[in-house]
Amino acid sequence: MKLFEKDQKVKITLKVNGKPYETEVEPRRLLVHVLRELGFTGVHVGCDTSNCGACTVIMDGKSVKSCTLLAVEANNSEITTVEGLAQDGNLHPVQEAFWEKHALQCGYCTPGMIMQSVWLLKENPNPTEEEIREGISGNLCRCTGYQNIVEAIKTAAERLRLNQPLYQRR
Amino acid sequence: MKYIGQPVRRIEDPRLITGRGTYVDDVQLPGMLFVAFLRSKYPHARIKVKGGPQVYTGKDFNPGKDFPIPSTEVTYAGQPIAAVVAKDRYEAYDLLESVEVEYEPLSPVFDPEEALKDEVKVYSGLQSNVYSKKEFLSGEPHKVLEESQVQLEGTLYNQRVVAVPMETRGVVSFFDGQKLTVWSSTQSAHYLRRNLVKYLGLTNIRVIQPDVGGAFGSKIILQPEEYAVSFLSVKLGVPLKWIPTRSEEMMSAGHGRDKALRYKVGVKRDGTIMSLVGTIVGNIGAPYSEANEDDGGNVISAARMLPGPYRIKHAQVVAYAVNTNLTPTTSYRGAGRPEATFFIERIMDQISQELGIDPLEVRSRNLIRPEEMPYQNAFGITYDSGNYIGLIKSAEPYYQQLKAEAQKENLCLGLSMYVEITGFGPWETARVYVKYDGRVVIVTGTGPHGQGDATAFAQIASEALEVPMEKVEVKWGDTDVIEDGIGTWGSRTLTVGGSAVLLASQELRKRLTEAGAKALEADVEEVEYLEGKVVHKKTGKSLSFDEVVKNAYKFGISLDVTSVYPVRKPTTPYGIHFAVVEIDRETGMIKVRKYLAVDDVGKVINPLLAEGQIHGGVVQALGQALYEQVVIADGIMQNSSLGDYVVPTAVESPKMEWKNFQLGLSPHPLGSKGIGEAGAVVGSPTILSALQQCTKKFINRMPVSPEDLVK
Amino acid sequence: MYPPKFGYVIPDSLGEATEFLEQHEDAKALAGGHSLIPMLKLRIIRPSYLVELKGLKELHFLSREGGKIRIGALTTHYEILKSGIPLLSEAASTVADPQVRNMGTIGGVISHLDPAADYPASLIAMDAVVRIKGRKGVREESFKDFAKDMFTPDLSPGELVTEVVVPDFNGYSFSYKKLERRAGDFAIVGVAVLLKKEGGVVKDVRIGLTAVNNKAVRADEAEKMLLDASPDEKLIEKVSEKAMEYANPTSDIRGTAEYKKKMVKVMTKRALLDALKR
Repeated sequence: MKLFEKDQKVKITLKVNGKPYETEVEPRRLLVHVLRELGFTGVHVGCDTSNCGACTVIMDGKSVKSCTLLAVEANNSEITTVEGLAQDGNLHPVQEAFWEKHALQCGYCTPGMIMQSVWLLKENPNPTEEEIREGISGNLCRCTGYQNIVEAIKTAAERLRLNQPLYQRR
Repeated sequence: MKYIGQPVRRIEDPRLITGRGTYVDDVQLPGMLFVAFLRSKYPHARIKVKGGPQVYTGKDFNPGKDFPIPSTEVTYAGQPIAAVVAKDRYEAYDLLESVEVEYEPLSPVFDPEEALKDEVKVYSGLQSNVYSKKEFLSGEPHKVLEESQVQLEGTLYNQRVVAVPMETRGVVSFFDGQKLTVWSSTQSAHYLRRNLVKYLGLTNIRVIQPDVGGAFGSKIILQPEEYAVSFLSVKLGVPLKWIPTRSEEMMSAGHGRDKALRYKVGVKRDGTIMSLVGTIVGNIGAPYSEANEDDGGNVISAARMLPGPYRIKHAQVVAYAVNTNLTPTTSYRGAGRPEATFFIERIMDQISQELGIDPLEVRSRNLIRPEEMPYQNAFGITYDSGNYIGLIKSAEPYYQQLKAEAQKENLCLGLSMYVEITGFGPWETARVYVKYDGRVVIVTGTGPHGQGDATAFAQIASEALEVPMEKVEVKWGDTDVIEDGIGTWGSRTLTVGGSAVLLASQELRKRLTEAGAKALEADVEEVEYLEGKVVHKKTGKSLSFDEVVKNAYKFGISLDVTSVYPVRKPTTPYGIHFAVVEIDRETGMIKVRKYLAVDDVGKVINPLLAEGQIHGGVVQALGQALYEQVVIADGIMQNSSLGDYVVPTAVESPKMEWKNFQLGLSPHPLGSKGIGEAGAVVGSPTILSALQQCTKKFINRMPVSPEDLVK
Repeated sequence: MYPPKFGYVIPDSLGEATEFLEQHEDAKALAGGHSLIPMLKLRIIRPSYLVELKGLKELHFLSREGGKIRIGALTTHYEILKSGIPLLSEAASTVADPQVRNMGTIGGVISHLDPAADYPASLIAMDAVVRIKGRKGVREESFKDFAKDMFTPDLSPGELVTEVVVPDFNGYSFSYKKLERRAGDFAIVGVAVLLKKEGGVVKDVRIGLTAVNNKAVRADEAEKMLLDASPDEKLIEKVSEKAMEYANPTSDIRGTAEYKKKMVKVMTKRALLDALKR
């Protein structure tokens, strides 16, 4: 058994966007804040009740709200944030489609929305409009009215399905 | 046109889709401490707050005064009453728990009708709870009302909602001993700077507006916390950061609307409105002057826009802005015009139902005729251009198609019209300069925060200078890089700010032509500016843009132009919107299946951006119509989290379509009118109109609860 | 907000976990955390320690044996919705939103026992059994008895839910109907129906209700009306009316008591019709 007192810091290891990070955290510290402190400021906080999804990242293959996880719980996990999607300067098809379809305005919900979309399309490469809307129902956007986000996800799905180059040149 | 009018994808996006945006919470300074605010648990009370080594109270911020930070008397629950400074946010909130406050509760008043009686004062320093009372009158409304064939009356409530941008407010502030630098999630760096100068008495202030995660009117005024954090950073000499939690934010900021209309309307049997008499009461919350000035203005705008696009000659409205012990209200997308539109459009549907006239027909009969434009409405607002009847005609085929669809599937089709007023001044600035290497830089005095105006400004400059957009970059939100500015609100940014960009670009073009002529050893008349080049008309010799630029520097011709565009009059976009709505007859659950917006917003610079504004505005209006409201018990907000306050998700949001007909232009150089608020202005009554078509119930308040529809 | 300070314990075994929890009554077990962490953030609770369960593989399984399905406490909503368990998988698909379903666990939900949670309507209809481990050993309780009251599971200090066992309702049709204000919200009313028909005659039927009482209930009398009957619209109407009698809701921001009660009838009817159709 490992026991940490409340003022004691816990050493944790996270693999973020393919790179290992070691850091020391208080047990109470939320994963979102630790990710942000490591420099992944694309992970946003929009609420305090797990409703808005702005903090969504992919952890060990699943999309999660990093504001509702303790950093200690995430020890030894692999995390992908929005910063880790583009490869060698080439946008991920979901990012590309968000740009093309004008699926963002203020951009604050965007990283979480994109990460959830990436996970959704992995789960369901050919979603119906209804499945897309349900699939992003844990992510709130106050600017776009969602329509262009839905369009972007459809477009990205098509490109991914047609097996077009996974990463397109900008 | 090569750039203007094209659906160019946004130049803002590459950073934002890769997580490289910089919002205020992303700003990190060495040695920065975190500030958190203790908030009042009572809506009205005398307070004694015990200060301490890391605890600062009203007595520190503004001794003897209760605004921006109260020293002795709180006037709403959620009001910031003390600030603590700690190493980080976790410790700051730990520390908050140890701050001692003594409350001596005072009688509160929440209902504006009660407050009007002035029996209980919302604040002991107040002469009266009535912040403002204004009357607008035209013709002989009472006499005509008496003589009207039909008289209808009622009360309409436009409820209190919260703006809920996805990013809360937030400030980083640092005083280096000489200069104060403030980063804030604000709608205007310049306006905030002017306010900080006023409140702090310093002038060496730089304000930076980083990326802002939405605002919708809630980030215009000087927030008490913006003042307090800036004050503290000067006092302590260390960088400070303040980011509220969502629940704090919802309790204490961004409240809007909350206006009611009591009315009588005199109508001919054919549906023509003869007279309208009403009283508007706006509940503007606690007496914080910065907020009251803002939303008090919106009460007046709700009153003056009450006649909508209709010719109502005899009309009177008395508008009260009343203080209560609730969170002060501020502008929320549309700011007064959504209320006015909700009021008049509900009245139109009431007339339609009472007299059995088709809702479109009753509106057509009352519309201002094209030959009457420009038209001054009963309360002195001038509608500048357009053709209201013409727009209905343009919308007709779509209307018929929707009607058929709705009938086939037994759905409800509703509609509403609006005219709104945009393009406010008093002025706006733009600076356009060219670097020695030919890069064009635009600086705007506005403060875009998601609308995509930078892309539109780049389109305007590219068009005027005939250079590719890749050569152009746009900066904003820094008081150190342009002389001054106004900001982004009221659907003004593109129309007014864009006109300033256009004027500066045109002046720059003149200077480039002059430099080119000089380099070609010709008179200005002998050359022309063509596709970014300066060409000698006779010899055909030409200089590229980059060569002209280098020559200009050599000749001492400055390629740095700032335009100040003075706004002489605002402009008035208008439109007609339709909603196809499904009601579950057993549960009362409502689903907006389809939404069609038909607008005339003048010249459209970028249709992609324009339609995006409609989408967002409509879904906010849908939220107000069906889900959102501040629930208050004993002066305390009961649903101050995003779990309890229902913002629509993708599942509740409809499919939307936008049609634009340019039937008129604004008087601004750019010819655009503004579209930022249209959806929010007309969306709610459009959805309510659909519900009425199916249920035959006249709905006078929002949000419509499913329960009401199955009673 | 931000959680208050607490200590953190990572046990090597289930036994260690229960022992620690028994010795520290103000400690809390942490499963998926999607009820616990929000409460910590709002500082509604201030536990001395959190005991991390996620490493305890013996709580994370899903198996079918002898007509029963055993669902380990750490099984997530996502895993349940993917596993084709009659009724329960459908209920899982309506819990909150995808991200929450990826983390939240069935053990967490029933140990928290929110009166508006989705699973309880199904669990009570399925005669689910809860397996509980404490230092003194293992015991089993029917879900009905386990759920003592709202937010009050039958758990003594140091006890943990280790699994939920449900019969494999092979050959049953089913439906979970949830009325919600917006996607992902708690239920205004939730009705779960399990139904077995032979030759057009109902041989077994179970109707569970959530969100309309302190805890989930079975509409026993309503069920009886359907037994050995060939339901037509009229009967279903009557049965649904009867189900309404089992609802004793309270008014809140999700609706008045009167509305919720009426909706029990509507949702019961819909769930029955849906189940009969399948």
